[in-house]
Amino acid sequence: MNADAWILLVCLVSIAVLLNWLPLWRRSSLWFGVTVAPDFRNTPEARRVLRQYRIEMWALSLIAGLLLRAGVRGEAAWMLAAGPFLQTLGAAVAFARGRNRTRPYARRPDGARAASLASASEGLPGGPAGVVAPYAILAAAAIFLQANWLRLPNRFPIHWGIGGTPDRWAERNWRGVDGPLLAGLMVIALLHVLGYMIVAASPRGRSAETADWTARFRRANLRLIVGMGCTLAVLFAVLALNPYLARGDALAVPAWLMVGAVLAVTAGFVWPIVRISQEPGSGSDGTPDECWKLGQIYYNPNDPALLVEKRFGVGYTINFGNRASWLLIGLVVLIVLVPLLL
Amino acid sequence: MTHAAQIRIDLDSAAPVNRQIVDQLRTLLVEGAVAPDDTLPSVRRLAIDLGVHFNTVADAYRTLADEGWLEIAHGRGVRVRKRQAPRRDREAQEETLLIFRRRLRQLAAEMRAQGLSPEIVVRELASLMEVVKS
Repeated sequence: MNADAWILLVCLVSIAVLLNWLPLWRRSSLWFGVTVAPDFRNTPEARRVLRQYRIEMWALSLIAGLLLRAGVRGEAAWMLAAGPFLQTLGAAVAFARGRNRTRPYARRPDGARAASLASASEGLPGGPAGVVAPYAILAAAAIFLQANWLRLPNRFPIHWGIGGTPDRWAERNWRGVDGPLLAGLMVIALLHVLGYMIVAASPRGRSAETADWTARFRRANLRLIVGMGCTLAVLFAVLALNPYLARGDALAVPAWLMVGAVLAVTAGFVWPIVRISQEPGSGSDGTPDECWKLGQIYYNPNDPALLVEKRFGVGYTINFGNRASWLLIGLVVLIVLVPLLL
Repeated sequence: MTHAAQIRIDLDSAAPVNRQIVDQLRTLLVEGAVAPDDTLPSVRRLAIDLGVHFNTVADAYRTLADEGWLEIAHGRGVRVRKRQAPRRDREAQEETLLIFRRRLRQLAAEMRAQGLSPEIVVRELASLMEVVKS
């Protein structure tokens, strides 16, 4: 196998390991997206559901690995894309099957709800400085590039293959030079929009007993968003400065270092969320089970929340029953499309 | 001013949610857990936290505003007003007292029917008396 194949294989195995543990990162009264008794996870039935999910997920990951191997060998190019797709889709199907197996043990969610009468606005961690910092980093990079415009090469690489070989170039014009900064700006703006949406349009806790847990979970998620904003700003600034810093077609900062740094920072912010999600006594999330389609898609027109906690994986997901959710999806599509169209 | 008071509702209860919110908030206001000039969460915020429709919370806030407890200012949130109990003539006071007695008897009977002993009911009434006095 060549270097490309090894990198893809490592990614595939890493994702499989993540998917192996993902069902355990949830509130204590949820199991495979179903509201259950808090101690259900210790029962033989719960362990059997988890075991079957893991068998199915690893079997599909193995098939995905074989497809990837065939794709790398050049047997069929579509197999390269089909491998990761099969793994992701397969995990979603395995989770939905686990949910069906858990349903007989479902417990009717408690109708009791509680809300704090505190009216103070939460805000994002780090205050205005935490929000402004990523934009300041991007702006500083843009000013530096503008000041050193003539020192930039006329043509430089802007995209590299998995093995580090450049496969796309740009000319020295605003689109080529400032393109990475603009892309970074869009991604960071989206992160901040999501952060403000969590603050303004997700429940601060619907149960008095778990209000503290919910507050800590929200805070950890918001810290991840603010932290990733700063990290991505540095990443995009480094990429934008590459034509100035690099010699030849190589990356000035090795790809493994950039990817490793982003992964390390992400892990540092995600780990507290994982720890919080494994604490006992976190109850349920106050959303009805029947509104979760396949255990992952939340559709509840009667719930005014725009974002709710995920039931598979950490973080928040959209309430597709809220009409404003389509505006948010439109914004995401726009942010993905604009850099592609530029 | 912010405060840690909480509002609790039960979606499984036979009582409409907006009435539960009104009853809870009124209790907190009368007992002083929420003081004049405090700001309450916006309609949107409370509806999202409780997982109920915006109109349910808006109705509850309007009812309390009509009773003189709250001041709803668009864009500036919901503020608790200083409120004096309305003056009543003797006849109106007698009528209110009759309603109070009837509800109290109904509630005591309901609690006893659900298994609470007369001693517990009396103890709770005494404890309520202390709260009202203070």
